[in-house]
Amino acid sequence: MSADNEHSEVGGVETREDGAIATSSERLVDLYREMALIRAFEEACQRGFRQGKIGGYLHVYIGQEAVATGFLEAFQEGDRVVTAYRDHAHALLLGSDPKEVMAELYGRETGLVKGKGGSMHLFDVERGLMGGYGIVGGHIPLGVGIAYAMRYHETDHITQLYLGDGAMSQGAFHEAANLAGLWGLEGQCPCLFIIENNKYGMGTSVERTTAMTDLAAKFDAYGIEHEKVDGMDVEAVVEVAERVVEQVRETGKPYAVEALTYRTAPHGAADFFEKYRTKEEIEEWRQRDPIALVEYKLIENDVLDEEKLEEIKSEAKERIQEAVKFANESDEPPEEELYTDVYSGEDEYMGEE
Amino acid sequence: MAETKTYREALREAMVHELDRDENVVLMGEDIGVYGGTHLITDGLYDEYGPRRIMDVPISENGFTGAAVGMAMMGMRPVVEMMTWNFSFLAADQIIQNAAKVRYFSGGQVEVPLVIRGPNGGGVQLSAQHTHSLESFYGHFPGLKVVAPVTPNDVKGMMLTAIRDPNPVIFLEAGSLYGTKGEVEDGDNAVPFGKARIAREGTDVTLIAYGRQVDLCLRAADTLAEDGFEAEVIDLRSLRPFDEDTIVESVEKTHRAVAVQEQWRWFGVASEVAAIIQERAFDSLDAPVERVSGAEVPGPYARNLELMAFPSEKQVTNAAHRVLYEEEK
Amino acid sequence: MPKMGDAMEEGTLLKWLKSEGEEVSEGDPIAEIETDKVTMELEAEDEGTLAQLIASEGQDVPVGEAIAFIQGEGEEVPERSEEGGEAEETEEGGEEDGGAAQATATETEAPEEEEIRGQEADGRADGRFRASPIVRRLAEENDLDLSKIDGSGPAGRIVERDVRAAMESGTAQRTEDGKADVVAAPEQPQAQPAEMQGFQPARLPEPTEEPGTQLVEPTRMMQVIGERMTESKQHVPHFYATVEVRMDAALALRKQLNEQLEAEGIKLSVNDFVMKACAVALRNYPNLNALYTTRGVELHEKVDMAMAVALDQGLITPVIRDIGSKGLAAISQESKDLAMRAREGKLQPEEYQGGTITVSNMGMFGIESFTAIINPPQAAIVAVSSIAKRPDYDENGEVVPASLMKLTLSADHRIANGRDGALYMAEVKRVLENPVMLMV
Repeated sequence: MSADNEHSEVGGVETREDGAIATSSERLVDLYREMALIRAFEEACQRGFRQGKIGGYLHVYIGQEAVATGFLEAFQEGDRVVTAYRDHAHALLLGSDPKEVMAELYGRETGLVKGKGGSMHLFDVERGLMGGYGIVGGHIPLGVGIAYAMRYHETDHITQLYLGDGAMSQGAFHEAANLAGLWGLEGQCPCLFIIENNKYGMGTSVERTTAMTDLAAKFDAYGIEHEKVDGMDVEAVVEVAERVVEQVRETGKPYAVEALTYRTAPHGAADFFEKYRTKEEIEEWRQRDPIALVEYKLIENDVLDEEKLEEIKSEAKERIQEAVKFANESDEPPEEELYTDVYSGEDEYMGEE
Repeated sequence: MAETKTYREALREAMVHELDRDENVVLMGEDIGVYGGTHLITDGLYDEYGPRRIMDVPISENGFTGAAVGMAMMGMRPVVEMMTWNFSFLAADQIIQNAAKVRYFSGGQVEVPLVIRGPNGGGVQLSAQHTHSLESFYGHFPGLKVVAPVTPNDVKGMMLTAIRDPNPVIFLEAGSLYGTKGEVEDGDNAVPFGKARIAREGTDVTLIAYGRQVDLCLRAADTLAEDGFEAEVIDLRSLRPFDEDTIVESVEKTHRAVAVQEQWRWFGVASEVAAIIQERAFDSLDAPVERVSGAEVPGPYARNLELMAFPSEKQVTNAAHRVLYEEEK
Repeated sequence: MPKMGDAMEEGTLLKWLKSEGEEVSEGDPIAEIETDKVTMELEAEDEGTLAQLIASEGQDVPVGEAIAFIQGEGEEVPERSEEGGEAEETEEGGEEDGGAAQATATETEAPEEEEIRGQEADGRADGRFRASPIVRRLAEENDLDLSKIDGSGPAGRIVERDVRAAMESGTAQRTEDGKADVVAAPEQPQAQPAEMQGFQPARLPEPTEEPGTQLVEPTRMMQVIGERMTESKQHVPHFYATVEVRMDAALALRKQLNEQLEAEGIKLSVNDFVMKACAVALRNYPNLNALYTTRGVELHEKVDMAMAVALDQGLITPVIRDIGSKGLAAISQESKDLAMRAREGKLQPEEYQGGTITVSNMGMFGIESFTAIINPPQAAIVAVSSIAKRPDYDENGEVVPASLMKLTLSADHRIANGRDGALYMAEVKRVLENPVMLMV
């Protein structure tokens, strides 16, 4: 991290590397705490998966913490969040209990969705999290519809709709973005599209999936305004988030922000060889790890020392260990749960043998 | 009180009833607003209710169906039109992966009070891509409800029930029957799901069908009556939930059954009917359950070929003769 | 063992890259692990001492089981368990004891199929006919005899209208005693297999069940033996030839040999001599060491001699393979062993199946002579009777005491004719009366 290089370019976005704190130090410490918790959680998930406690797919947010942390700083009660399957961070940031989230991944009845969804389907509707979806791009029209309903019901809530770079090849994205732009003409679609561009749609780089790699610019086709942000710098993200969330809330028009980020972990737990990228590249981006960046700032500006940072990280690890313990000690769902929630209003309906 | 109305009018009446009753109800579809709807079902509604309640959407089945799912999750009650159900495959991901399942994988935290409706079935020379009849396709998925009303009274009554149902409902209208007439009760005549209709009572053989095949069976029944056989005709009208009891009771009475379906034999509704009958009414059967299905081909265009591709009255009467151990004619 | 893929259930610990007791840091590779897709290095997740290597190199370990223990500060090393991780319980492929359950002389068909048919009790010969479910129900409910109703459905299926018609005309009522009023094989009690119907006259009497009678249901072995013997008697054209053998020389030789063999614990029996003699004699009469097959007579070079062993509940014939190449001592040991195990019910199928000729000895019961029933598809069986001491004439015309034993051949006239049989038996007699021939 060189102090003499105050600004540089990453993917066409200006990055700040001068180590200055943009918001207040208290706030930065809070942000740090949140990101440390996410990191500890995701690392525990990786262990849990290797131990065979977590089944199915596991998509962790390691390296991308600054994006959700930054944007959800601007979340207000009544807003909704819709994302795809890399959703643990969003749940934790919205206030879901790490115990319940871990229990969900462990497939227990105490899980966030009673053990019936797993890692990819986290919902905490009371806190605003509307899922958690497994089909790439499939959730995007839902997010647009949710936003529409908000204005239909004449509220001033907004929807934060997260998607990855890979999803932008799906027809569903284009159809949904078109509808958002169209409905936005009348101010009826307060949908903030947040593109978590981590450069790879699973194993295929953005350059190999589209001729027009400026993802934000794709929104021009739908009449949606857009900008980019350095997704590794949480303060940069907060600044953009607060501004655009306000704008969406006021205008009821959709907006898109492309956050340039990187996941230093594999795509999912089975992504072993990562043949699609080099170790050097991963190392390079590790230098820009969002948590490390914040640590640097906090130390540089004498806000916290190494010890205090360790303390925060330990606290996070402890909290997560408790969550793991809770998950381990919880029971699996009872057999009756197999047949519930298939339909609303009538459980045990046309499902029982 | 009842009046004679067309299927189309009855359907529209139901939607109007609910548009008036519940602010959350909106209609969505291609050309349903300004254009008045390609089948004139929503004709005039745009003028009456405005663009907020009657939404014209661009040609993007996946997009607008998915948006409707999101709206439903937020408490709106969208009634989405598939211009024809043949276009629903474009939206199948939203219907099957989201609408049908999101309540389950959210642990019951959301519900999807969504109706997707449109004309279903073939028979008017629209060729292979416009001829599907999707009862067994959608009927397969837990989480969806699937209905196929045949009479004007049923279409009105079941649309009322569909809009009020907090679950996603696949509403398969018999496209070729939009112009047919029947007695329709006034006011709120909600027809419950999960109950079949006995379209004709009989004692010698049970004919089971849905959609436009019900009429086919009624005509076949008339022909059989000429030979002294009284057929009971059952209009399934509700595929999911499915009314097993009515079928079983009927076969316990008549001892013979023929199941008729528009679409293909393999993995179809008629197979389900046959399975249920042999499971629950085995000791009442005098003959195996026969199935009459469409020909195993994509729908052809030429009139004569198309007639051959779908069940005919003759096929139904022959099947009935077989189970009656009578000579086919 | 880490989970390294969605579907992975176990992995192989190929190689340890660190030794027990070594210090490791986070990220150090400590082992090579092989899955069905890939070989990977396993990195240590924590700092500490690699205190315990639990899995051994080459061991398959299920996902989630412990393979090593890294001891951190202040941690205690857990007790080493007996095996490295839980070994999966291997199912011992226990071989079932073939003996008692299979003590039948031949292969048999499963009687179950026959039993089900028997239960139909409708009087049709094959026990099966077509009727739709409603028809069966109506027949039950109305006490109808379906065998009296003609089916108008496909393949003669009885359908509802047939039953309705019959009910109206009253032609199919069962008779009052509840039995079908038909002239046919009456209902058999469930234990008896319908097999017996095929090989017995059409009319067997019902058990009288009078006082002073006891009904014995045959065992499976008895059933099978009965079946085979019936078949043999009905289908094989038996003819018989008897010779009377002077056994004195053989008995003397036997005595002599047994004195020599006593030390080895071997005691030759008369039957051993007889069996060997029968085998030797077959050299010149090979068509008595033959099987009658679908396409003709199959002559066998080797003599696989079956010996009849009586059991409490029947009979079994263990086989001495290639008896012609075996000496008397070997024959003696083998026959004793087979007989003993036969009585204990411990024979393996290959020990009592096959055989090209049978010898049946009832000498121990004081039987002067008897004829045995051929074991199809064999060509012959030799019945050995007891040795009687009677006066006889020697070559000089003098009366001398003699030990005389009758042997009776039963032979299949399709395979051998009377002359062959007679000549064979004369040869057997010659060998036994000149027992040095047993050495050849």
